[in-house]
Amino acid sequence: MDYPGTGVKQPEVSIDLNGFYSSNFEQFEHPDQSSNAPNSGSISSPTGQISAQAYRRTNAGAAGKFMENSGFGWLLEVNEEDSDQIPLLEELDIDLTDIYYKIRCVLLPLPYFRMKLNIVRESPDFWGPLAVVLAFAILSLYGQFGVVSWIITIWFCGGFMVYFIARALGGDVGYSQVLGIVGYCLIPLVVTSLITPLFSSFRLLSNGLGMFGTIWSVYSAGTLLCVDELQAKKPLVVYPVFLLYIYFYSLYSGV
Amino acid sequence: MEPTYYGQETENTRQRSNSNAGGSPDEQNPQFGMQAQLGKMMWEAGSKQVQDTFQSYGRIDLFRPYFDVDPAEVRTRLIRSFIPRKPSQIQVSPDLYGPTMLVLTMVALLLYNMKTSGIVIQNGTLMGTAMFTCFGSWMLISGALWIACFLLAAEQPFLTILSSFGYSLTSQCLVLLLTSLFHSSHDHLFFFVLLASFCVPSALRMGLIVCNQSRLPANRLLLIGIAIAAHLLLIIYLHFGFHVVLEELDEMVGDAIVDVNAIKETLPVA
Repeated sequence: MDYPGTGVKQPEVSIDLNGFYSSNFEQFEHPDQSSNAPNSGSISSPTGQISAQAYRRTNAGAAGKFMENSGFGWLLEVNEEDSDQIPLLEELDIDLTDIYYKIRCVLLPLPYFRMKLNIVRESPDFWGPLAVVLAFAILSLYGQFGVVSWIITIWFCGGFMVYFIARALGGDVGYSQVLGIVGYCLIPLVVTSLITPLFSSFRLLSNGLGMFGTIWSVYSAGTLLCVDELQAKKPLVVYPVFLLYIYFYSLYSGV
Repeated sequence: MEPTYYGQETENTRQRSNSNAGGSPDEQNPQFGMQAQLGKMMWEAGSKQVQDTFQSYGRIDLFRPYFDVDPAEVRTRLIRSFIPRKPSQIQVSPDLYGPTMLVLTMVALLLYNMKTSGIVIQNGTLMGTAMFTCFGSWMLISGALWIACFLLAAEQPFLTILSSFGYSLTSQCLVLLLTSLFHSSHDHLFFFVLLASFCVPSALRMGLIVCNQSRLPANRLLLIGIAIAAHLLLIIYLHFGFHVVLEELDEMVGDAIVDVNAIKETLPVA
């Protein structure tokens, strides 16, 4: 609801007074309720908002009706900005289904699964990779507190390195895309480092699992990063990514 | 962060500048003077940021010739770094992709070595130490060689030396890898065999590259000596600097075992 005294508001008030008490109240109300659903809060048309306020005013009682009839209805209006506020997840651009799909993309990078891998590259987001990197950092936190800052630093600096090399080799990728891909592709390492403590007594097996997770991550990242321009120079892009994940794994086993 | 975004950003800032220009007549009014000044400051800060972003893109383009390489080219350069041969007079463009990757590989190998040796660093982390050691030694030794060349009248571009010394680190990486995989005993014979078969030819090649421009034979010998010494000292430091703890531990355990055996032997007698 905006400031009621402004010129913009004038036509709305007049529509309100004329439209609400008319007999077609039912027609007004229903589309309005659907348009005020939380998902489409920002799209709702001005007419929808007006009749919603009119609906509220019916609850204001006789005094309210009197005030409205004499043109002072706006005095009783409640500032509804808080209820119109979009949810926090939406405001921070956190789309959980999107993140879930991207995670599945990275976990199943083989062409056999027919996932739209390009989505991870084409629509980069920040919170999914950050969550994955933080999950990895928490998993490797045991007994070493300095590791979180190192992992995040390696994520940013290594991501920049990969971005720099991919860019210098002629690939058309952005820093945010590389950050997203590098962050998401840590998931295989997260999975393997979840399993590894079960086999901690078998040193060779746990090392082998770690290497398997690293190669899995590198494969995912390699398929995602190598855009068409980079296909000829794929080894040159994949090698720094491989080193980056080796560092991550090394940080997991000790700073 | 596509370049197109920045294009939009500039447009926005341009619009902002127009709005500021529109507000500039208010400067006669002291009340709006400060606002105009604030707007001007904002505009300056914004334009500076945009300029910096553009410059960073420009900087990547500046480095592009050194990093835009073919896989086959990198492979041949890696193999050639083991062959001590006088460099051809044809000017080849030095690349930095190979050296950077080799140094980063060295960091990973050094980390692995340190972990298997059980080294604990008091003020710092293994990661930081490895990074600092590898990048530091690459830069420092290249710089030292460049200065030596400069002093002995055999000037070469810094990038050539940086690139060729970086490529000569291939042998060091190989030796580090092999010793970390197969280094079971501590007599270091295996290490010295590897040193002689891989590092010495590589060091010799480095010496030949460094002394390429020199005219005087004495200077030439001196430069070759410096290059070989720097190259070999680095690998010796990397090998021995990160195995000491394990050896000491091994010796202690070994002594303990010997002591136990001695006690066992002496017990029945007593």
